[in-house]
Parts: sequence; C-alpha cells; structure tokens
Amino acid sequence: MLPVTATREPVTVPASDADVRRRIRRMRVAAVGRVDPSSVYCVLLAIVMAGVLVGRPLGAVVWPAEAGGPSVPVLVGAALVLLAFLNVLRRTGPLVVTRADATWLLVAPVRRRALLTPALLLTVFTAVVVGGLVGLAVAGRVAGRPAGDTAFAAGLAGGAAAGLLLVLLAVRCQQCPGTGRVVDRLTGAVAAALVVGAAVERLAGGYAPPGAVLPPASIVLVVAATVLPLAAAALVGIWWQLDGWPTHRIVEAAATTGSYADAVYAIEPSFLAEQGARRYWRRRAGIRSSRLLRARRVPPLVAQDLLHVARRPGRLPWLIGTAMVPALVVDGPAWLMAATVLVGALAAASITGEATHADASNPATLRLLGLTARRVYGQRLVVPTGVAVLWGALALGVAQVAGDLSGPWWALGVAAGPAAAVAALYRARASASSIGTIFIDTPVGAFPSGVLLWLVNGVDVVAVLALPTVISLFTARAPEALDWSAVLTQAAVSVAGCLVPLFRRSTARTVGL
Amino acid sequence: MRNGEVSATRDRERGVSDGAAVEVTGLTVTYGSTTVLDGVGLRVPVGAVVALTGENGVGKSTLLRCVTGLQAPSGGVVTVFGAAPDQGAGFWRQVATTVESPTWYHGLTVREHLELVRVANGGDPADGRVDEVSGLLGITGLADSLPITLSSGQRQRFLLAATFVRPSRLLVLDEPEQRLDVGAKRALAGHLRDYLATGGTLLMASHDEQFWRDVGADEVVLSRPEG
Repeated sequence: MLPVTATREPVTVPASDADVRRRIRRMRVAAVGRVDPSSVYCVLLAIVMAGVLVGRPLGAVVWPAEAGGPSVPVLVGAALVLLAFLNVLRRTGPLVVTRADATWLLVAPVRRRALLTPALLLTVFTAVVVGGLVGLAVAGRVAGRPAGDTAFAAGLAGGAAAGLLLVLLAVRCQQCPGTGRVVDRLTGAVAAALVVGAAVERLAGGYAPPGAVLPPASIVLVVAATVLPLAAAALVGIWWQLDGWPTHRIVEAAATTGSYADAVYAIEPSFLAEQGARRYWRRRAGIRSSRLLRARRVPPLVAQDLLHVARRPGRLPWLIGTAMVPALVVDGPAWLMAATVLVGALAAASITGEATHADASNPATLRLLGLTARRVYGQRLVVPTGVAVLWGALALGVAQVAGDLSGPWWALGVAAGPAAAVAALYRARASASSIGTIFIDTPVGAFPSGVLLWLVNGVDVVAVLALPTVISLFTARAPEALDWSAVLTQAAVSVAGCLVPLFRRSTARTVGL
Repeated sequence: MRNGEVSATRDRERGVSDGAAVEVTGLTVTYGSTTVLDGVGLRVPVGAVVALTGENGVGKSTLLRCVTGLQAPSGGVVTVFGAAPDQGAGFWRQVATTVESPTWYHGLTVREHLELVRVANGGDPADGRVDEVSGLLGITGLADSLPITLSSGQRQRFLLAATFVRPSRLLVLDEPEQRLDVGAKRALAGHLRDYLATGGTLLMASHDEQFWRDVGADEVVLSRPEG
C-alpha cells in the first residue's frame, strides 16, 4: 500500500479552465451519456408548442389592442412584478454554482470567474427579458394607438435597464448581507404599501393618474440609452472581479438553490418553507432571551408562538397588505371574493406554522416536553386564532367600506378566524410526501399526487368550516344586508371545528400531533 | 458481561431498589436480511447504571431505540417500569432520552428552549435549575443564541441540558460523551453520578471507557450476531 503523504508545496498554477471543463464534460458523458437528439427535439418541440399556446394570450397581456392610459393597478402591478423578480434574485444568489460544483470545484484551484460566468450571464439575460416584458406591458397600456416605434423601444429599453439595475442591486446585496437585509425589508414594505395604496385607490372610488405621470417615450429612451451602457459597464466590472468573490457567499447560495432543486425534484414544497425559515433565522441577530416563558403567565407553547410572531415583524406589512386584497375584488365575482378571503385568512393563520410543522415532522421535541396532543393542539391554536380574527375583521371590514356590502361583516371576519386557525394547523402538519403517495400517470411520466393534495390541504378544511361565510359572500350582496344570524352560525361552526380534535380520546394521552 | 443481565447483587450493594427499570427479553431486530440484534436480554434494575459497549454497528442505538419505544423490535419483549414503552405522555414524563435529535424551534433562544422544557414538564424555570445545568455543560454564554447557529459540540451540550432540566426516572443516552471536550465529559460524569444518587436509572451507549467508568456504569458488551 502506498503511504499517505501531504503535498509538499501547493500548486502555484491553477488548472486551466478549458481542461477543467473538458474533464467535467467527459465525466458527465460517462455518467449520463451524450445528449440524445430525441431529447433536443422534445425540448425544442415543447418550446415551440408553449410559444404557440401561450404566445398569443401573453402578447395580449403585454401589448393589448387598446391603451387605457396610465392607471394605478397597471403601475402597481408592474412595480410588484419587478419587486418579485428582485426577491427571486435575492433568494437564488444571484451568483451561484451547483452544489456539486461548490463541493468539488470551488475548493479546487479553479478560477472563480469561469465558474460564475454562466450564472452571471443567465441572470443578466433573465433580467433583460423580465424587465423588457414589464416595460413593454406598461408602454402597451400607456402609449396611444397607433403606437410608434419610439414608444415600443422606450418600453423595452426602459424595462431592460430597470432589470439590469435590479441585478446590480441583488449582486451588491449578495456581497453585503447588511445591505441585503435592509433591501429585503424595504422590498417587503414597499410591496405591502403598493397593495395598500391600490386598495385605498379603490376605496376612494378610483383615481386616474394624469397622462404625464410617466415621462414621454423619448425621454425614457434617452435615460435608458444612458443607463444601459453604465449598467453593462458595472456588470463587466463585476465579472472582472469574480475571481475575488467570497467563497462563503457562493457556498451559501449553492446550498440554498440546491435545496430549491431538491424541492422541485422531490416535488415537496415544504422544503422551500423550511429552507426559507432556516435562512431567516440563521441571519437573525439581536435576539435577547425573553422573560415570557419564565413568567409562566401564558401556557408555554402560546408563549413560544407569541415570541415567534414578535421576532418576525417583517410579516406585519404583508398581513396588512393581504387584508386589503378582498377590498380590491369585492365588486368582482363572488367566487373570487370567497377564494380571496379563505386563502388570505388561511395564510394569516399560518404565521406560526413553522413550529407545528416541526412538531409534526419530528415529535422528538414534544416527547421532551412531555405534552399530550390535546394540550399541544389547544395551545398551538391560540395565536393563529388571534391573528386570523384580526385579519378577518380587517379584511371584511375594509371590503365593506370599499364595496356594496352592508351589515356586520367585520364580525363575520372575527367569527371565521378560528376556522382559519384550525385549517392552518391541519395545513402546517402535512408535507406533500406525507399526504399523497399515490402516483398519477401522465403522458410525460408518473406524478406524485402529494403536491396537488398539499396545494389544497387546509383550504378544504377552511372551506367547510367557513361555509357560513362563503354562503354569505354569495347571497348577502346588495340590496340584501348581512344578518347577525349568519355571524352566530359561523361562530358556532368555528367553535365546533376547534373542539372536534379535542374530543378524540387518544389526544388526552399520546404525545405528538 | 456479554448481552446479559446486570449483576443484581452488586446493584443492591449500592442501594439499588428492587424492580427493573428496563427489562429486555429475547430482543431481535432485523433490517432486511441483516440481523442486528438476535435474542438479546438485558435487565437494568431501578437505580442502576448500564453502559452498552461494542463496535460500530452491533446495535447499541437500535437497542436504545427499542427501549424508548421509538423502534418496534422484530421479536422479543421490552418493558420499562413494568409496562411496554409507548408514545403516551405518561411514559415520556418518566423517560428522557438523547436517542433522537429534536428539531429545535426557530426563533427561540437556547435559554428559552430550556425554560420551555422545564415549564412544559411542570417545573419552575426560575428555580435555578436551568442556570445550574447550563453552567455544568458550559452553555451559559450561549443563552441568547439561536440553536441553528450552534456548532455540533454546542448542540450536543444543548441537547443534554434540555434532557437534564426536566424531571425523569430513566435516562436513555446515546453516546452522551460524543463531541465533548475532556472537561465537559468530566462534568457530565459528575452530573450523572448525582442523578443516580437521587434515585434515577441510567442506560447509555458509550465508546469511551474512561467516561462510563467515571459514571460508575456496569458494562454490557454487545457483539455482532453470529452468521
């Protein structure tokens, strides 16, 4: 046997990029074989079919036949899409390599620039496409008809420039976590403010911004022509400095995107929630132990849920923002209003879902606590109920002011709160793999039913327990007024929903959920 | 002693009371075609301390999991304080274990976790027990840390602390000394001796002879089933 030896001197000349790529290509070919022409054909065919199927409707969305002039929903929608894109960039890196590359190549004497260039190019390409489409969508609604080439080019170039600026911001955030935290908070606050603003515009009876709220196309074009080269130069500067990019930032991004890939591969959405939570709490600083548990004024798991909610204040703007959404659709179809209320209340009540999901997936902590399922259930229900009650009262109260509703709608929101809390507990307990192991055969292969069931998990419970609310949303429209009997019925159903699990004998004895 | 009973004579000399805390008879566990435990018997009297030893893969952790009811054996009988281990709260109020790693709650500090465990088990979190155990295991300075930020060694100390701040009659510990430095091991051994002196029973798996001898444990060597 050869003796194990240490390298006497480190390698001074890094491996050539071409050699590394060639070797990786050979290894991949050896492992999975060469690219099959039929696979290329299938992918191209799928792209063409997607283009044929969604190209026309997408074109109508981006560039409608008639321009309605600038409006608050259009401007808010465009801003929200750009903020969502920034959020995606922040969550994926944006400068990232695969987990395998992070494990093997990042720690090898291979140039970072070669590893990170594909990610940078992909990010820039995506930003130009997304930004350009958003810019075109705004221009398509603002520019008068027939629209000239200038308006078209201004929309495209302005959007692309905005997309590139977002890329620069995301890269800066990846380099400086402090800046990243500030930007993340601002993004959330601005998004919530935009939704609230849109709701207020609705409450005020609509507001048509003046045509000059956006600069003329020629000015947009000039600004974009100035910004685009500057942004391109900044991106080239970033590319040039990629060799000095900090390793731990790339490893972190690789782990995150790797877990996203796991979630997609395993079709297990709860991975994403868990990964997001881990990311948040790993970066959360400045926490001091509270005296709430020591004081023993509230049951221990209620105290834990309260601490959890208090330590994620960034969710508050989102809660308020989503409570405004029913006001935006109150005059729309009743089914849309009902769906918005149910899903919104469920999402609000899911604010403490992390702990319930942890208890359900690994009851070891509950065994350590020695609490029966009944006590855990009773305590875990308190905080979500409180949040859902407040959300329901706000959502339906504001919707009443905005729309054609009369009667004690806010009270109906209060009464439906516990129903949403029960549904949120059901939803938090389940993962896609735990609730659906049956595979559905499709022309493109077998598909686990779990993810489909997971999507509606909890919604089915809230739909049943909040049936009086749903019925009221369909029937108690003007000139009919909501009756207190509907509120009392909803309250009774909600209480019954909360109590049913407590009546199971096993919950008084066993640990776990 | 190989796969057998702990000497009751020696235990009685140490003031061990009558009755078995753990009684395992003919325990068999198979994973597919591999037999890990084959007809193992073990008796741990109340107040005794037993260390399961043996090379990796002989089934120490599997035996502990069967004793805590976290794994169903392929054959044989396991009783804890005269009853089969179950998932009831009554069982878990008597038995504390580190056989499984809990998923700590996001957003709750180390100190708050220990207080949560103490309060949920009916203890007083302000009676100094949390401080005492934290000091013993050297995690006082981590009080305001979130568990997700701890190193593997710190997590081991934290898990042991959470196990010790709650009342129990039987401790089932899987390699409690792992990832601990020498000083922490010595402090842990002292704490376990105190636990035994107050009437507790301890069943553990260990690879550290010095450690389990410090605790005063009787050794039960597990070996790979023949064939």
